[in-house]
Amino acid sequence: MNRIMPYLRVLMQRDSILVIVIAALIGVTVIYPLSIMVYGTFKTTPPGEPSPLTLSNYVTMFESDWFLEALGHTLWISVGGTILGVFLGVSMAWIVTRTDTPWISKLEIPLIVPFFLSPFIGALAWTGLASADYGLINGWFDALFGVRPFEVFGPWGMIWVMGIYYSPYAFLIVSGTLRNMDPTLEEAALSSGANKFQTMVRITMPLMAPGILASAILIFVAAAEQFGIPSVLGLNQRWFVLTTRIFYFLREYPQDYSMAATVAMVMLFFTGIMVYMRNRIIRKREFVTVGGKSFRPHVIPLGRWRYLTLSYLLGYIMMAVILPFGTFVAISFFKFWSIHPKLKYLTLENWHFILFEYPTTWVAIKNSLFLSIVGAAVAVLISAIIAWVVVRTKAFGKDALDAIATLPVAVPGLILGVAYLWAWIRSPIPIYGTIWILMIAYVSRFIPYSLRSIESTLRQIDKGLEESANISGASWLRTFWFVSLPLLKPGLVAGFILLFVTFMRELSCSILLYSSGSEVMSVTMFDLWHDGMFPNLAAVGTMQLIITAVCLILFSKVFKIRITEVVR
Amino acid sequence: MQDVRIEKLIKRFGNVTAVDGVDIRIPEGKIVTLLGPSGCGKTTTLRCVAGFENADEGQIWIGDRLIFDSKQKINISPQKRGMGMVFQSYAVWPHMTVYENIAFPLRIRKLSGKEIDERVKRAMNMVGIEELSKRLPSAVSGGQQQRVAFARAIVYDPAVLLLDEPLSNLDAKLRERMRFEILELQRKIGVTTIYVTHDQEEAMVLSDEVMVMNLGQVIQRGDPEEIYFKPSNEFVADFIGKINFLSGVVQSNDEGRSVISITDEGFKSEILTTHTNFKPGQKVLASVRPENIHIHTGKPDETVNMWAARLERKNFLGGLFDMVISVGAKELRCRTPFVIDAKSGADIYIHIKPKDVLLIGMQ
Repeated sequence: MNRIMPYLRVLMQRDSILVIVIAALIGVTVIYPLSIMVYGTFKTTPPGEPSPLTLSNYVTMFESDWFLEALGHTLWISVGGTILGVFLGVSMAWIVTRTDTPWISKLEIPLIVPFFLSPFIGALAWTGLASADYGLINGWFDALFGVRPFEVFGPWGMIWVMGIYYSPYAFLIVSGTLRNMDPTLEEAALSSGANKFQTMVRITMPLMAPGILASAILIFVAAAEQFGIPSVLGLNQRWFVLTTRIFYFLREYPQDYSMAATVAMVMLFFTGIMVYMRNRIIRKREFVTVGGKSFRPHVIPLGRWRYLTLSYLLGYIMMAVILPFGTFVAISFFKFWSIHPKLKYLTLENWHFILFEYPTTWVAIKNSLFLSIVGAAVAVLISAIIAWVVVRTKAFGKDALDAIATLPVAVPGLILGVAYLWAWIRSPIPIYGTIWILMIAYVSRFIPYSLRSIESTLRQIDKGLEESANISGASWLRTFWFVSLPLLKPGLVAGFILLFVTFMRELSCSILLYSSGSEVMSVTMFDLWHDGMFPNLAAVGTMQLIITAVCLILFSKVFKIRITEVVR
Repeated sequence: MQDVRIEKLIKRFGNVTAVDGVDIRIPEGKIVTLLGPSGCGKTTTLRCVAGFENADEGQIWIGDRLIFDSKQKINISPQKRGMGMVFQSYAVWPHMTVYENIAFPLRIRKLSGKEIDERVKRAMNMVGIEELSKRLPSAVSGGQQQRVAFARAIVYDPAVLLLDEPLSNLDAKLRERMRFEILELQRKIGVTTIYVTHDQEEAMVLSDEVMVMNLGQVIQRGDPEEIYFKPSNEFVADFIGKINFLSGVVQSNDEGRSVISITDEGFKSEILTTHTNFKPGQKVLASVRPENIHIHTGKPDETVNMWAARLERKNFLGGLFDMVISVGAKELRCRTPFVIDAKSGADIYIHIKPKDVLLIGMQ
């Protein structure tokens, strides 16, 4: 007894209790479902029913045509989307930070807007713009030249949509790198005799490389785990990627939960490797390039080319924001959408239907807002506690806690949904079928995102501020509430807003875990799409955009921050 | 080797005139230091010479090559000016080895691999970093990075070498050592050098000529001893070393002696000086360096420039005593390496040799 007393004493300390409690929570919400799913890959019966363990699922999968096809398709669009996204992001980052293109300060916000938009709605909108049968742009070409050159359904459309909506990731990372680069590194090259081009190739680009690589992996993983875009642009054509295949196994009759889980394992394996590689790159090759003196980086005067680069930036905003979302809103006012939309079909009946007749609209709005606001707040609070334990205490097991909390980064949303199905669809605990399963899924999946930024904010806050509260007599709870939280406010607000936007547009997890009464807005749109009610879903989507925008404006006023600070 | 001429250079940033009519010449093979406080325009001037800032008015010559002329709109780009530059942050490229950093300018100039190897090794040898060849900058110390930056700047035998406060990021002992090394290196290579610093000790050690700058203008130029012993105005006198100022009026001036009557509150007396550069009736600052105020515990033999005083504070700086003494109500700073056997508050005597009283015109 005496030998274990010291250990018990350690465990009974407040910090250790926190670690244990939170680790248990995460264990139940992340590790447990994933374990059940892994177990499910060795079964041949649905969840809850017993079955002998077997490798037959894996064998069937690896021997099948559909698997290799889906895998190949996934790689195709992921690589394509990454190349396009990185190209757009890096080129725009360069133009914005290093040239004298006019209007750059005005364009800062519009260029970041796609970061907040839903790629799912983007894909839907682009069908109205560029589908061979009823795309508006095809209509213009048809009227002018008699051809309809574009087809957004299929892999090239997926690459296009992913590229333009994921490029902000590369843009933000690389423009940050360029902005913080010590300008004397380039000046030293110039004074050594290198011209501007040589300087860019031999000095600037290698220094940008880690950032470019990190954002490439980020986009690749996001593209591979995407569900919304390939479902809109590929399901009806039966052009499958891994995520839509998994969905197919769960939706089409007869459902095959085990096969869904098996394919999910493959995806999990790959995303896990990529996330691991990305962490290694970030840690290893982070060149310290932040400079000392206050001279700003050299801006390259472009002369006449300025207008070309300006058009490029404006073109991007056009393609990513104005055209698709403008069209999307317009479609909601048309009875039919065709390649040459006729004004005589303008109508308000879609809106009337959605607002007053369709039963799930208001349920979905209520659920989306509830999940997004409450869920984001809960996630941010838990992240703050975890961050505080990891950064400020020496609690036993805190590094393990950090690792476990960050685990979901490697788990695609759809996969988490499959895992939750396996864990709780037949569980005696009645959370499947309620809104709470969605809440738990959202929160546990997205904690890593707010955790990272809150941790780094906390690291920058001087420990002395909290220590002085402590020594004045405040308990740890008071210190946390009255000193730590207020100092963390910018990081917390940024995390909250980021998660709010992410939750509002979440689809891949929700599509598997919703049921009657717990629909969310993106699920409603998905169903309407499935039923072929395009103008109606445009109305729902427009509402989602309006609600999100209104909430963002409200939040920025209430919390007194600017939206651009959220993404820094 | 070539000289550098900066003629009537003016550079404005918005409403602020950072460089206000700088007109100087750096003779070939010499080191000239631009010395002054932050914001005096020294770095901006240097960057204009390098080509990273474009002046609004003026001309810059290297030898008989005009590299900048505001009127004729001549502005040779930095890479074509053929200068070497060492930055305050060293700007050593983190993704290249030490060898590659130094070899870079030679690769740009398309020298053969053999020649590059020869020159790089010679440069590394000169600054003493031969064994660091394959290391990355993150794996070497600040002082070593500085040497890499230096080697890179001289490896292609530039006509002019520009140094922008290269020692300010180093610790005090290293700074002292590097000063001498830079001086030796420059003497060996003989490259025309412009050195920018705010550290006047550095300027004293390194320079053939010092240009003291303030508010965008060159206030005084001369060799270090001239600047120190013959400051032309209050700013220079106060910036270089420490100095005590006594306001006064010249009473008489003949036979190599000048009598100044001090008008400072609490120190109404006359002071004698051998400097006769001002006429009777002119207002002057009689200026005395702290090391030239001699302290006596008992009444000394000297009668000229001798006063009774009180020791206010005595600070031991390890090798030197730094004291504040008061004569009447006037406080003076005083320094001596000798131990003074007196405590704070004690009565003492001071005397100042007439040749140590400098006269500076009052603004």
